[in-house]
Amino acid sequence: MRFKKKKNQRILRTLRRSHVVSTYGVGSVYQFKNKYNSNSDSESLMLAGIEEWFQNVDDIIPEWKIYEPRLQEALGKDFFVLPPDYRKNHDNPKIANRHLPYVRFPQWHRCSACGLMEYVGKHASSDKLVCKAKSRLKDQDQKIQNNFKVCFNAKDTSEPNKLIPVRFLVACEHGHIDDFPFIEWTHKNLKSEITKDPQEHILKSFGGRGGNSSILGLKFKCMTCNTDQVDIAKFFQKNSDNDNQNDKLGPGFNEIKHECSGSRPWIGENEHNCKAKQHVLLKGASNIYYPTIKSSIFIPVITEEFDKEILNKINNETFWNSIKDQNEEMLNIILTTVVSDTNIDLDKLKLAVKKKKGRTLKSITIRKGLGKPTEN
Amino acid sequence: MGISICIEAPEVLIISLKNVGQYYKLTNKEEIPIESKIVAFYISKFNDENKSSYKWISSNYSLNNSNQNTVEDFISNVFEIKKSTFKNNVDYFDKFFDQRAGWHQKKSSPSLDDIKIKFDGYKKEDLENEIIKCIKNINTKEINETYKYEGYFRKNLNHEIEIKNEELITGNTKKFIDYDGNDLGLSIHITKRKSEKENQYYLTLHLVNDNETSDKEYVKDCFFQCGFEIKSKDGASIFKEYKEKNLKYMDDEEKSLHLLHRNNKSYAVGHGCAVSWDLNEGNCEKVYTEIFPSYEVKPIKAKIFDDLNLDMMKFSEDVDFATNEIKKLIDKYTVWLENEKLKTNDLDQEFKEVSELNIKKATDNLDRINEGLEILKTDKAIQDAFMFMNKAMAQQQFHYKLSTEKDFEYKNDLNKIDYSNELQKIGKGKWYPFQIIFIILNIKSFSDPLSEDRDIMDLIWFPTGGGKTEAYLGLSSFVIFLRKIKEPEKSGNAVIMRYTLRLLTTQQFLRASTLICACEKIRSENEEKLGKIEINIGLWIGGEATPNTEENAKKILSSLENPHSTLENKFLIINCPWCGEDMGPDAKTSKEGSIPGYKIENISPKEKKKIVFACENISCNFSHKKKNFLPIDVIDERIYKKQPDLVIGTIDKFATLPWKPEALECFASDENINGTDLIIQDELHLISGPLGSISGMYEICIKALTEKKINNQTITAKIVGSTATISKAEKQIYSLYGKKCSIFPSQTNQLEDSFFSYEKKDADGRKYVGIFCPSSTSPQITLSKVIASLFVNVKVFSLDKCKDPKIYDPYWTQLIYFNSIRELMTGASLLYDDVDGEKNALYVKKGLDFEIKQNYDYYRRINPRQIAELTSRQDSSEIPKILKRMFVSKNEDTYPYDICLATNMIQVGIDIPRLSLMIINGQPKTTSEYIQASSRVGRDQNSPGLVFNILSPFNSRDRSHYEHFKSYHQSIYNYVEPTSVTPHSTSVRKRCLHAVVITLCRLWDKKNRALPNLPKDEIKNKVLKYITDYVKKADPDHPEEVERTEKDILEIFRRWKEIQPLKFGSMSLDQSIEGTLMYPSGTEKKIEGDQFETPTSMRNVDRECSARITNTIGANHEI
Repeated sequence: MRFKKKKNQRILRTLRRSHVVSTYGVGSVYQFKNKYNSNSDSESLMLAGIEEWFQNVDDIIPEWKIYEPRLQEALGKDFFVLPPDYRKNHDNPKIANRHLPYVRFPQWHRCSACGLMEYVGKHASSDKLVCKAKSRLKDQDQKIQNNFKVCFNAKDTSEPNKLIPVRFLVACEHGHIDDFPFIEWTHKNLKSEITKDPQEHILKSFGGRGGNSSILGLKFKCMTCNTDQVDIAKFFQKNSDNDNQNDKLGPGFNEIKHECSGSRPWIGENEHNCKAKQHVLLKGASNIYYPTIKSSIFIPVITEEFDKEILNKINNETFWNSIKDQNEEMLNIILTTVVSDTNIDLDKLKLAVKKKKGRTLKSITIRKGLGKPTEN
Repeated sequence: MGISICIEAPEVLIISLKNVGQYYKLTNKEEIPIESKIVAFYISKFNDENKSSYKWISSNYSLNNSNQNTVEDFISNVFEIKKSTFKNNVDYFDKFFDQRAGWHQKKSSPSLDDIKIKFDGYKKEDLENEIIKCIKNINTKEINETYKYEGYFRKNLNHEIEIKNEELITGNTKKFIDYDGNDLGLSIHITKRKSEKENQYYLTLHLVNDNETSDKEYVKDCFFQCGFEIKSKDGASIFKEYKEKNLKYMDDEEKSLHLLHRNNKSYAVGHGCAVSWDLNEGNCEKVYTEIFPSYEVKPIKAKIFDDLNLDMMKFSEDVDFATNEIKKLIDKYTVWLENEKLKTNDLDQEFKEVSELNIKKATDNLDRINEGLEILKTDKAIQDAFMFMNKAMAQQQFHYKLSTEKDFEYKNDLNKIDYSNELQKIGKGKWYPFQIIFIILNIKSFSDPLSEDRDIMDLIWFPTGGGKTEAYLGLSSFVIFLRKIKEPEKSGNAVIMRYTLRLLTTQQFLRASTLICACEKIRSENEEKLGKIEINIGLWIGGEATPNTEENAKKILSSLENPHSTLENKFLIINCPWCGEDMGPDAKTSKEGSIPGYKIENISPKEKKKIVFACENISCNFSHKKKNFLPIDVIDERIYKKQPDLVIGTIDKFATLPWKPEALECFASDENINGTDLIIQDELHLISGPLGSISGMYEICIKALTEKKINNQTITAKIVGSTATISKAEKQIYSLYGKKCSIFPSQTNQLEDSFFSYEKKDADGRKYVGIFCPSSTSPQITLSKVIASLFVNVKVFSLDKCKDPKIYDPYWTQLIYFNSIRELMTGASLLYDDVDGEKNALYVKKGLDFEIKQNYDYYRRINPRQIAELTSRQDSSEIPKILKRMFVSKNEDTYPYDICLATNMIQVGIDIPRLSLMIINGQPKTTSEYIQASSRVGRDQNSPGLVFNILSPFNSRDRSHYEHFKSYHQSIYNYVEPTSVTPHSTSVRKRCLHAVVITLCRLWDKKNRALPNLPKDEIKNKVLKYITDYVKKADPDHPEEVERTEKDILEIFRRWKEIQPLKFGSMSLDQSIEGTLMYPSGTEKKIEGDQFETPTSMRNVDRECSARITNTIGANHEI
């Protein structure tokens, strides 16, 4: 096959805006595909918290703001934001080229060809997700090199093989999520102390050996420390009946005394001392991410007491937010300027504002019966 | 599992199990000497009818007799092992070696297999010598190998029970008894129901496992690969058709479908399993369950008559010859139709009426065809257009092959092609009868635009891959030439081809481009007849696929010239449609600063330099050296100005009409401009649901747009449609276009033969296999096992059995179809995990040592670079590249894609002959989607398609499809669901009635086209009348909608007056909308007012967000 000199590839990973809100919200892992690449190599990324979306509040243009007073009140927020959409060329720098922030998760990857395991870190860019067998194994023993022949002996001119995120992770019942403790688990039978730096260990993953293709057929081995090949079957065993109370961790985690790290990759900080029960879960499983959905019903003020223009004004959330907390004097000034070049009757508008504030508008009274915003 | 059947009471019914597996656990922890296994192998291998192996042992070791027991006793004594162990070993070699699928060894010892491999080639004598050695050795008590094993052995159950007629009572159960008279644990439960006819009744038989499980040894209580069959003891054909629908309650259309499919009867339905039946001369004698049901759908082909010569080149030279041949063809059809009329009398009473109706429709069509032929015989202009069309089509066929197929090369000068000769060589250049007849059928619509024919929507209904495209491409070039002959000095758009999907449009565009190149070449050679105005083609699709403005286009071009640029190629043309020379930035000859094929040139002295396409091949007719540019335009701005003869567009693009007055000018007539004559709507079945309803509303604008006056009478463009799968087309077309519809070719009494098409029974069809695994942990696991198994087995097949890549290449690339992007995402991540693991496991099972031979050629692995994705997640510029690579065949040094993941984007239009293997993950939403998607494979006759349909056990619809697998597939076109369109309903009016009103105002009120002044009453009334008339016609069943529409239009004018807009507004999302009349749907209204929210596309389009890896989060917490 003829390999042409490759152009620098543009990277654009997109997803639908409506998906960002609930299906794949903050903290969920989405399989992205580069729009400008015809191959289907996907990367797993986790959406970072909303506090990372904008550098400061001024960056949020009005178009992305949503006001819903009852929900605001219930959640104690000033406003809500729409996920900023991607527009390539735009005069307003606040709008142009807006991306949503993501972190790489899981961070452990394996080479699709030779099985070398690599801890790439949260911020690794896509072009770094290639097998580094050549550079990492350069100074290693030949025995170790032989285990990664496919990539180590590959020609320099050929494209390096792609890294693929590992297929399982650890999550606890309090909502923390972290990579599987590969270093600890592969070295569980080793008596001596080891460093936990993933760069110091050359791990290899073996798949589908002995005819078992499921996740239980996967085996891992640290080549540097020449450990035994270990599988992860133990993590899926149930606690035996005679387990004592201290063994809450479960058979697998207990063996390496692994407690929940309290990791929250979407925030970037760890909560310490989480004692919750941990589970090994498959990356693609549907029981990893449950969004918390709060909903409320928005009912605009519809009454025949006032005409349409006035209702339009007081139902406009931007307008309402700008006047609702003003004192009497300021309110008068604002309302006077608002009506100046329209045919709205100032007194009627004032009355409407007053009524809305006092919640005595007809349709506002209906709302009382609906109670607090519901939780889904 | 159960079967429901309808039967005529038999004396005795036989129900037999079909190879049901029962597994026995064996544990053996003895130490077994290897020699005993060699003996076991010997006994098994030479155990013929004379028991010669037993005899030899008994005679050689002077035993009492040669019966099995004695010999086994002797051997077990010699080796000091249990007799049962020895027997098991013999069994292993005996029955199970080739049937190990159900055999599982926990601690596998390869020694048994080793022995088989080592000694298989030995002659009897040699092996006997070996055994003598073994038995000598054992006396020294040296045990050279021991192993422990634990495993399961499979026992096949094929028992029968007989049920007498009087025992067939609801609630009766009958147990299966084994040969020793013990209860097997399986029983048949019977349910009986009455039928309308005497002596017939419905039976439901269930196979039930009666065992109660104990916790530990549950395996022996289970049965595996269950199945049973039902027949009558005397072999009589007792099974009657199992009807699930009653003809009484059907309308004519449904009845007609049942008439067409009446020969494909269904005899049973499964419960938790699939069923099949065997027919003997049309009578059903046996019904049985199936695990992997499969059905081969035979191809429906266009009929070809050997005694007719429908040669395009000949037709183009001699019109009398053409009319003669066509006359012969029509005569044949007339005879055939007479014959069909006779057939009606033999039909059941219930079908007679619809049969007569069908024949009436066919006769009507025949009359129109005869009229068309008469015109062709007499009208000189029509004759000329007809001859030019034939020439253009012939050239198109040759050059399309030249431009798309890399292995087809033409060495001679392109100017001296002997088309008749060359086309004959590649087996092209002839019309299918239905194609040429379709063109004849439509002649009158254009020769006499005032005739009624013009107002009929002609729909080609032909299965996929039948050559529909050819038929309407022919008609298009006919129309283009006819206009050029009649009014050579006028320019203007002649034909609009509308598609619904982006992907389809680009591939069809390349094909139509070849045709237009041919037309243009013919025109330049016949300027005295066809005038001096160039024939050209324009691609009118969304801005994300092609540049919208000249300025933008230049920007893209100059950026493409830089090899490090990251901008994608939006010009879409990647090879010359005439000679196939590579064009664009990815071409081999591409250098920095110049892109082959894309040029900036002075076209006319008055204008600025413009981007043009010209071939780099000097001998090509459209070479840039000759300054003959390709007559192709992709830039919107230029299309509006030039009004290309053929415009290809997506249907969504017509939503831009209210926004862009330039677009109106592109299609409308003028003194110097001849407006559109023909609209082709391909894949009509997709104009349904929400898209259909919205586009039906815009149809009003399109009708008004294409109006022109002839002799003071108004005519509109002719509409032609095509589809392979549609139901209740007449109703759909009526509500969309307000026109009557005529389906061609007309179906009469049977689907297998409509004169123009027939079911080719002796050809290899497309095979559908249903996979349904309720016992699998999840449907994903099932999917990954299927992918891996196909992945490995094709490779193993290519290694062992067949070295010729031509044979295995069609099955090399797996096309995997998902019903949503979300499912596709899960599927994609399975590939690298589960499929990868499963594949390794399979290699081990196949005995391929993948660790040693890890070069790709030997050891096929999941490589991200070999996996493509054809979805909306892909940028438009990547799609032509993927399609181009899909054509690459597997050969020693070429690697086509291993896997292509796809969504419903591929369901129409993709035509890649080498694809033959497909996996459909989950039954698609509609039958039409299922047929269309699966028709992407097996398009080449030499490599029949194979489609695996993975049905989810958690989805009751999928389950039902599995249970009806055979009856569904054998008359699959009968199951196509009618589509629903409601173009003038309240919600559609709310969304886009104002868009239609504004478009019409802008169209008719030319003075105010740029300024949003409220039109005068005269125009207002015209708009009001035009729309309400249209609605009245298209929706005659709902007069109330007309009133409401009228009310809504008046309200729109009231709002318009109130808004007092300064400008119409712009489609761009980012401009200020102050003082505008409209703002684009989906944007936030930024200022108050009553402005119209107007769609910019006919679908709901969600905004896209982009993801980037942040480097701020948790930077300090890195380990």
